Amino acid sequence: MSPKTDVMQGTLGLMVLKTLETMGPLHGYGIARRVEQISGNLLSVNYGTIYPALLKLEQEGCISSEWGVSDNNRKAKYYKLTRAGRKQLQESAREWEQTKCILERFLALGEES
Amino acid sequence: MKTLRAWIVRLCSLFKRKQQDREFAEEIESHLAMHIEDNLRSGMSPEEARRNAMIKFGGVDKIFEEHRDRRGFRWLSELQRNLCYAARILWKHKALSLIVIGILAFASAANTAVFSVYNFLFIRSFPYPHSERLVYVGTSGGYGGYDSESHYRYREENRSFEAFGSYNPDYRNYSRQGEARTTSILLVTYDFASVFQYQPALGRGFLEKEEGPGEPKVVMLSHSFWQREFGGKVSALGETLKLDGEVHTVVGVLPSNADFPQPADLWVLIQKGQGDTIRGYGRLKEGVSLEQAQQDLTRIHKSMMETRSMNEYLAPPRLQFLREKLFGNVGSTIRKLLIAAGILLLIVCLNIAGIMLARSESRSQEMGIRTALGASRAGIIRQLLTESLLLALPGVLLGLLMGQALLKLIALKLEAPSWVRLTPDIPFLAFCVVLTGATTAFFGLAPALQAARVNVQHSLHEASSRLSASGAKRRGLKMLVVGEVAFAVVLLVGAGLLLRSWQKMLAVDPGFRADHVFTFNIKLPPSTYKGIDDNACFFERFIESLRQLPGVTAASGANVLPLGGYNQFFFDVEGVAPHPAAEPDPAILMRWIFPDYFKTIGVTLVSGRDFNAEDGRAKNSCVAIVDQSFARRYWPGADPIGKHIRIRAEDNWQGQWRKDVGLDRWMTVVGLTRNVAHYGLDRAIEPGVYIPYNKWRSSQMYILVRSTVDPAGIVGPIRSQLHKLDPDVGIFFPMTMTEVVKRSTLVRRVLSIVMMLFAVAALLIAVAGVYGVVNYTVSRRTHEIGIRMALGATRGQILSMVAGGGARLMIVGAILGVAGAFAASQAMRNMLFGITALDVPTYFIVGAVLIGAVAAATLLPARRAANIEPMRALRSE
Repeated sequence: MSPKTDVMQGTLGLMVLKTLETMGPLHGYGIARRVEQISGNLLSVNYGTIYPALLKLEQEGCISSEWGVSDNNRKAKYYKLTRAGRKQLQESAREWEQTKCILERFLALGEES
Repeated sequence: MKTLRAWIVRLCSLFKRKQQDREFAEEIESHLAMHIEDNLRSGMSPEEARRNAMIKFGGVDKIFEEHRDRRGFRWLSELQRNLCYAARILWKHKALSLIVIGILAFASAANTAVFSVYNFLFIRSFPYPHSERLVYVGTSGGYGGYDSESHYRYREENRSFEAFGSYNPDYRNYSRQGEARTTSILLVTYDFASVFQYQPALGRGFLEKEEGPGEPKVVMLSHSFWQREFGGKVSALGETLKLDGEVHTVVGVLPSNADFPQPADLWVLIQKGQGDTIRGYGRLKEGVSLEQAQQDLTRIHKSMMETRSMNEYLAPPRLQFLREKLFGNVGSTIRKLLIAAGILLLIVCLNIAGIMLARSESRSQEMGIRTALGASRAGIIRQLLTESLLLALPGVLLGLLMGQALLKLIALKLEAPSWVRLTPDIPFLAFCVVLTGATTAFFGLAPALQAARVNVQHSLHEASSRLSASGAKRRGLKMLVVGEVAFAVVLLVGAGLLLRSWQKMLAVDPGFRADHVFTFNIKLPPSTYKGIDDNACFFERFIESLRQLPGVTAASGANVLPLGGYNQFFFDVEGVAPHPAAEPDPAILMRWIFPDYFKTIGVTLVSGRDFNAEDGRAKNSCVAIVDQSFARRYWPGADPIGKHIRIRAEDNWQGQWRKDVGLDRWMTVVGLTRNVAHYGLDRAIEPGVYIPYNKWRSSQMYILVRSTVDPAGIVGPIRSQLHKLDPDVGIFFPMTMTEVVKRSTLVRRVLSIVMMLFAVAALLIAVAGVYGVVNYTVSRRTHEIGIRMALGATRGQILSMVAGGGARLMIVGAILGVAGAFAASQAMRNMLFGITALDVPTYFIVGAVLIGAVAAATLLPARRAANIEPMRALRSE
């Protein structure tokens, strides 16, 4: 499985949350673009897959949505981070940090021996 | 928390699917539009911009589906969809659905009703606090009880009970302002109510000090008696009433649920020194087992008997849990009924499975198309099971209601006391849920699996060729029918054996002529009638006055009626050595009778003479009459007249009385009568002895009147005769002997009728199954039959081909059924009477009925097949 197509739901969710934190309220298309950009095109997903992920986050109360108008005067659904989402983001980020540290140490160990 | 929130949101979304679909479509549209705009800006051609946006997005339909799944619950929305679809399908086949629901309701009614009874008897707790610790205290040897001294010793010295009380049901002549009536009472010790924690509805309960001899006599009114006699007024408290001539004061009213151990108008307190045969109920202390309590009371009993003379000896106590005491003997019967009801349900399920299978045949195209369009096997199975559930649910529900209504009717008719609770409870509902699930799985699963095995190509192809049904499906159908027939045979044989037993029992010669005999009990108040002579004098005069009534041909009295229970003694027979101790002599039924008893009840005197008035009056003449069973046992082949018998002394607990009335002497046998089936028409006949009434010390006596007119017409004159002699004496238990006999056969009658109903229903359903399958086969084979006929087959050949198919199913089913019935009838051997489990007529009749029924069920469709017009059949393609 190439990393270009397979994105775990959990990581995608975290990316969405982070995007919304830095960018403020944004529509699905914008979020998808942003995720692609930030990942430096290393991680390319079908834009469509962002929507089930958004729905899941919304159901969990991490984000909320509202119809609004885009820069180009087009009707679009805007997602924004809720307080619960902010907390969730912090927690997930910390967890990732930990995981990363552990893995790094493991891998470093492997190189030494 | 988060997950829970998500679940709730998803659940809610079920109800706004359309709106959400629309909204998401809009969102995708806006997404694509923005992407296209961006692409255009970066210099793509409009076409390319659009293409690129679409590709980047991924499959719209797939995302849409994923989004939808994510929104609600996949299985829930599928269930919803399945339910809607199933409802539509079932509605389309209204008639068939109604039939299925109807027969299922019938079988469920039988099952839920029988289970309700079973639940009440063996699972449900009694409506008293800690009822699982309630224990009945009787005496070993079955009947009788202990005396009041035992009660006080048990109460004071036991270490096992937290509450203990004794009681004895009895009857009293009751008078309060005017004419005497009879009333049922419960003699109780003061603490009896505490065992069941009955709280007085009004006033107070009995006090311990009121048990002292010489204290004023007190009673409590039952709730219904209070309503009936005192209009439910509070002023009833403190009123007085006369029981057998003695004044009693009302101190309280019992709650309306105080009808256990048995309903009575009044509770009367037993005072010290009263009460000779009482029984008890106790509530065990927590953690005390029945065995420990048994040992405890046995210990007290033993220490008590050490100081008593032989004459005062009492049988040791025997303890039983409430359930065992009340229902110990009906357990096997009700379990058999439960099994029978289960078999009925099984047949119904087989039948419905057949219907579903046949229908799934006609739907195989639909299944083929669904599979071709990507429906999964599991999906199809789920769909079909949903349909089955939709049939099972209303069926069971309807049956539940029918069963409950039926029980209510029966309970009302039998005047069931309040502690008989047949209403639904948790185990009952659990049973219904299991029933629904089991039936659904049972009749739904096979057709569902069958349908899911559909071969797409084959079934789509079949649509055009429409040849006969697939072999597997037909085999399945046939197996179902064979099963139905087999189970129906088991039920039919079971019911047949019971019916034959009942019939045999009714044909038993009871030894007496029950018709035109009216009986009742009278009880003389001991305050007026002091001793045997007073009693005898009154009874003599009363019976003599009855003989004068118009329409009365004979009248007499006896202490026990035929079929009226135990009154047994051990006897010595002159010249016959007593049995060794290891093998005791039989207890002999003894009856005290008035002259003309045999003529009145219709027992034939074989030889010798009846008692006369002289036998009754003479103090020192000792005569007896024995029955043939007695004579055959002790003097086989010899004439019993002139032989001598005597009540055995050492076993007799009433030694003084025995001496007083002169029963310690040898008695001369003066007459020989035919046997009477005293213990029940279906029980063995035991030896019995009659002796004159003047040796009877009790103040109670059954009076018998044989008349040429309807008993209802002579009750009035009898009452007025009694009133003339003594206005304080009333009539108890007025009944005709015919009713007595009928009542003794009640259990067998009810059981036979219920089993017969089950069996007939089973037969009808099985026959419907055979009919259905044969009919179905004919309609599937119309084309084939057309070809056969075109090729020269005669109508007769077609007829025998089709009917033969049905007959084969029946024969296989019948053989299996008979094998099953053999096994089943062994298990019910103890319920049979007068026949063996291999009763040939029963099997013969069942066979005949089955052949007739199946012939009818196969010939109709077979004739239809034979009448097929070959040309039309071929064109029907």
